[in-house]
Amino acid sequence: MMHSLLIALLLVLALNGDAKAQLASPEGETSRWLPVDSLITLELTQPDALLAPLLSDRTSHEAQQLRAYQVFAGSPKFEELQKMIHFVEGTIETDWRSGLMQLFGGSLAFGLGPNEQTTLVVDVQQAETLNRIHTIAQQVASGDARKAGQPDRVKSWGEGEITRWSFNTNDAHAIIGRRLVAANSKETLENALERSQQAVRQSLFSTPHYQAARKAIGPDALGMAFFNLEQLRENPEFAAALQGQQDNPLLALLLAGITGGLNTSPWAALGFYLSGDTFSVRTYLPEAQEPGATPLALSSPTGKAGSALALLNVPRQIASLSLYRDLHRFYAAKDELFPQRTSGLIFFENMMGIFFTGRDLTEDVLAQTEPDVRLVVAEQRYPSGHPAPDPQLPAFAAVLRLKDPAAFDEVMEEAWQKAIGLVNFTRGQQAEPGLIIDRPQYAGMTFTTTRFSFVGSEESDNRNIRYNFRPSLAMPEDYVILSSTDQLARDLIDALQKEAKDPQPSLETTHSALRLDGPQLGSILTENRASLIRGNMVKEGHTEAEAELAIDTLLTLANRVRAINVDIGGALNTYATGIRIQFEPFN
Amino acid sequence: LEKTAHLFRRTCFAATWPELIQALADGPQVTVDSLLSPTPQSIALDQRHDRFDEAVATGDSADALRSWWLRRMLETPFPLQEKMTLFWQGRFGIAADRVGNSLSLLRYQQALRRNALGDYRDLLKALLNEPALFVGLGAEQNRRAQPNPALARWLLQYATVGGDNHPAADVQELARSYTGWFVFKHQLRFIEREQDPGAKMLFGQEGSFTLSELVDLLVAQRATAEQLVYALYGELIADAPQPEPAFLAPLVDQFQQDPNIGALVSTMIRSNWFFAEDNLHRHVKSPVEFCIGTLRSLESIVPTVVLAEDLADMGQNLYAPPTLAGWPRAQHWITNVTLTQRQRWIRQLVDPEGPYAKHLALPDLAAQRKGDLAASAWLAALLHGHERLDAEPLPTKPAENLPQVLVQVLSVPEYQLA
Repeated sequence: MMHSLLIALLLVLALNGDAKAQLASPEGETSRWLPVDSLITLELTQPDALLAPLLSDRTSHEAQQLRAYQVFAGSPKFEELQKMIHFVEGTIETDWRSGLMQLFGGSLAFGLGPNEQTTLVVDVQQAETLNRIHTIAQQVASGDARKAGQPDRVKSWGEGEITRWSFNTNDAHAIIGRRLVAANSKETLENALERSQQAVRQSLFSTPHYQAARKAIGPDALGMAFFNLEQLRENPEFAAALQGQQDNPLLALLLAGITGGLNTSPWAALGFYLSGDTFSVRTYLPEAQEPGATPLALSSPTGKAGSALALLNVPRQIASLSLYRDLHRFYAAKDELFPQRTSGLIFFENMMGIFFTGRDLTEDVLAQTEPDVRLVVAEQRYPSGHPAPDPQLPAFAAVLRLKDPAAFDEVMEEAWQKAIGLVNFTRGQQAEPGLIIDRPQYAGMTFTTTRFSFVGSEESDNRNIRYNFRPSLAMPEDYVILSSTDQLARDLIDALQKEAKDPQPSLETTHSALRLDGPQLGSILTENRASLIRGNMVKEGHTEAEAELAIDTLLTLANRVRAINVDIGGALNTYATGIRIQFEPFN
Repeated sequence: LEKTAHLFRRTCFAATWPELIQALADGPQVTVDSLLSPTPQSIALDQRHDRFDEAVATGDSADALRSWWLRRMLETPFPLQEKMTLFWQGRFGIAADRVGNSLSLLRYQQALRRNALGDYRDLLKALLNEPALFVGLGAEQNRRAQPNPALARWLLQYATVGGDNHPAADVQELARSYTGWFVFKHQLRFIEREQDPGAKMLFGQEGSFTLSELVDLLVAQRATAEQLVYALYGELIADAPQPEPAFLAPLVDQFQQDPNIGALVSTMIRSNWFFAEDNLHRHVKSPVEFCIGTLRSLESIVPTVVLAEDLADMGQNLYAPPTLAGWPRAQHWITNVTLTQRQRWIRQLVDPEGPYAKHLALPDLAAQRKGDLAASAWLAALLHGHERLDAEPLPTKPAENLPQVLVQVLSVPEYQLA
């Protein structure tokens, strides 16, 4: 086992070279070796820039604080690993961090082709180092087989100047100067070598789609993942997953045109970027006209780029989401978009008809809403004098904007109170306590809130999950706040008043924006640590100690992420979409 | 080895290899003594699991309780207690959906576990103190003007004398006896004005019985002892055929004089007929016995959330028996559908991509037993209790194919029997 690990490590390290010789490969050179019909490829042109923060002293210090690391550091395997690293460091005459940096100092391309063929091309910076490490790896592989009483697995063969090697049954590789070409079969390796010798290379690099993707991600990208969607859609599982998302009305509304784009676009690409402590991934789909009504086109009243409102900010916020969605147009097209779901939607409409006193959901209710939908999730503070429920769930709320609040506020209020009444009636049938309605004043307005009573509750029931909920409705100015707690409703009233005094520009060309706050997420996870550990034990089959280790590692990582931002936008009326995710780790 | 494995299969789901070796060294008397008694480790584990159960019993779903009970079955050093708790849950089938409150359900389950091997009267009295029983039977309201017969029927038909061993009028008389008991907000309350104070005539005795007195009266009936002895015979000795009444009469006498469940179990598993050749492999494993037995033998703790779902697919959804009589038993466990599900579970058990395989550590287990037996023979001995299978020969290089050997060992028809 350790020998296999050592061989793998040596092979990886064999890809390194002399850091002083900064010989960058010509751009895209490694991807020229990948087959034209690759399904998924990863090309890293500046991998050292990605590795630098991961190998920094600060990251190393943070990693050593992880309980998982500390447990591993006390195990015999750690000692064995250290010995192996020292051995390799002695061989390459540098420390392991420098070794890894040198290893990824060049460029790298990996391709997954049809029939699970894989090809890896790595340009290192010094052929001599590569050959030396390769020799050691070869010796280790031979020794490993000898100790196991098996025939030598190391094989070599060749034509011309290129020697091919295999260290086990699913490995074939060759070293050409300072380039390592590896594949998971001899045939795949031969194809790659043959491709490299053609005058006009019929490789992935030469295709118009790959070139278009490279152009889209721009010159500042550190790397790119490319997805050949035309080929991937021929995979039944992939196609079924896409279709499943399109058939779900809520998911289709939330994701707008992304799944539609994946269904019709010939390719998709992810670009990787790094700026300071912020790591970004941008997703690109080529612009194209999607036939017929689409969730994206119908969620945009103008057919052009939507503009989501600025994200709301409340105390203890975990997540904030802002969407530009025309609910009226979207729902009006439901039969066209989701014919197979019509019966379920009719039931939904009937229920809404009860709440909204016979009004038509499409024309009398949803038509009253502006295409601005904002959602907020925040950690809760619980009323004093009572134990907090277990588990502790975050509060959540939706904020909608009305076209004519003077005419619709009471309609909303009536619908809300009917819904609460229905909940109470149903819970009463089950001998469960109901919600008590209250109408408190806050910030110059009256809003409606509810709560579960503690009166008559057994001590053992005082931490019941229901005490996470105090459903509330507030309608400040032309907004409607539907919140799971009164505190979040109050915080949102404050946030909207602040926004009215200091208007924030809407998010240009963005129809969906999400911000996740890492520390707050970490905080609520910490509050629920015991519950998470219990869940881990029965879901994963871990012992209590293993579960604690897994959850504590998760908590540490969550606390190291400051924020994750997702913005989806682009030119609408087509499904062209861009996703940008930004991490701010270890700050 | 075969009879030792038989003892563990019937009483503890199944044995691990160290347990088998220890039992062979200790002999049957010492082994049975140890199986019947809790240990400091088992008491500590129960306390720990009770805390877990209390923490997860917060909503109306039994899913978390289900997962934690399976986990307790896998981990407990006192498996007879869990086996008997399962027996009682199967016999007194209260469905979680009907109860609708996991805390209430947990209390009911704790009463079953606490009294699983104790005095039968204490068990029934404890259950009659649990709101879940009343809700589960549809007996939440017991008014003087309209006595509810649901609990009376359950007591007579399932818990004590049996369906044919009492006059029909007893149901009405019994129902009058517990008028005044109500369940409000999953709590049991007695409302005196709703109690029928008049005298009731039950089994030839007239009086105004309390719930406790009712239990004493019903358990004292010989028919109750017969019902329990036959039920435990089916669980511990053989599903079929039922023995002649005279054969079990001494046990019925014993139970009628001292309705101690543990003592009855002890007598049965120390008897010659428990170990008789004719009674080996005469009990069809329930899905829980099948899966928990396999996993306990393999010393494996697996994700029990998934296991609970798989057991439901095989026909045994814990906390959700299909009728008040519990789950179907004996040959009814095996149908085309459930047998297919058992085969699917076996394949899933060794599937490297599945939820279980990474928890099995088969090579490690086999390596620890090196020197005892060859790996394939070891697996056969462990899981079947004998060293030779009548089925197809095992692979010639089993050490390299332990998952395949395991599939083969588990798939033979006789592995469905305990």
